Amino acid sequence: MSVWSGCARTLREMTMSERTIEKRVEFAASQERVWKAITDPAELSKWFGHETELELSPGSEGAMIWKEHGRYALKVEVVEAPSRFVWSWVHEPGVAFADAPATRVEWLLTPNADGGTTLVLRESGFLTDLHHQQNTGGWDEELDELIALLAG
Amino acid sequence: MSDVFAAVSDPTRRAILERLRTEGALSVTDLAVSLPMSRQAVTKHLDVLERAGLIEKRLHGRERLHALSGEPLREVKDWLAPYEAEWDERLERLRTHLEGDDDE
Repeated sequence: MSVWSGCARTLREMTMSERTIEKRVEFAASQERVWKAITDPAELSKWFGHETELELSPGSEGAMIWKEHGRYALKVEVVEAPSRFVWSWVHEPGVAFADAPATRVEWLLTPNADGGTTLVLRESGFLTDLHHQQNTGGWDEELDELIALLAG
Repeated sequence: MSDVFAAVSDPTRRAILERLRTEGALSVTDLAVSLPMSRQAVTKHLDVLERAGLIEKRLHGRERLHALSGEPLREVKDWLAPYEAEWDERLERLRTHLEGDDDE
């Protein structure tokens, strides 16, 4: 049964067609400072990717670029300075945003009493992403069943 | 692993897995009662789940029962681990970046 306590959770999350990563981190820096670090392309290029193409307007497309991995297209979804920033991005380098399944990355900032900042980061939509990739396999199987049915 | 995702992408098969999870091993007849389809259709879904390794058949007297098999779902859980590790690294770099402000 102990095996199942973890798996049952996974099953429920699958039923919701979504699997989410969530991270909570506290920084000594102020909310304004952290906001700048996660939204300013020049700052992001220092710690996230090597290059960042980003405009802070919902609907605009950009990219995170790594020298060794390539260009990952993204689309800005929500900009609520200085507390909420959401973008979606693809997990396949070198393709346009519209041409690949995307996951959603949400950054939530809240000020702490000590002047620091709490960041909650969520990345969601992994299973949808995976479904997209696996769809071909699923359809093959259903087609096989249809062929078998028609042959019978 | 692609078999697992194909298997759970169908709502009927997820409903079957959920019933096996909450009620334990069940026969095709037990399962067909709660589903708006024939026993033959249920059997086909069970075959897909069994091929993906999500369930296993066992004989109980003269009855054939279907029960969950946990291993493939654990693989699914493990699949996300690298993405999680990437975020840990990125957030650690963000921390270092923010702490570096004192030197600038």
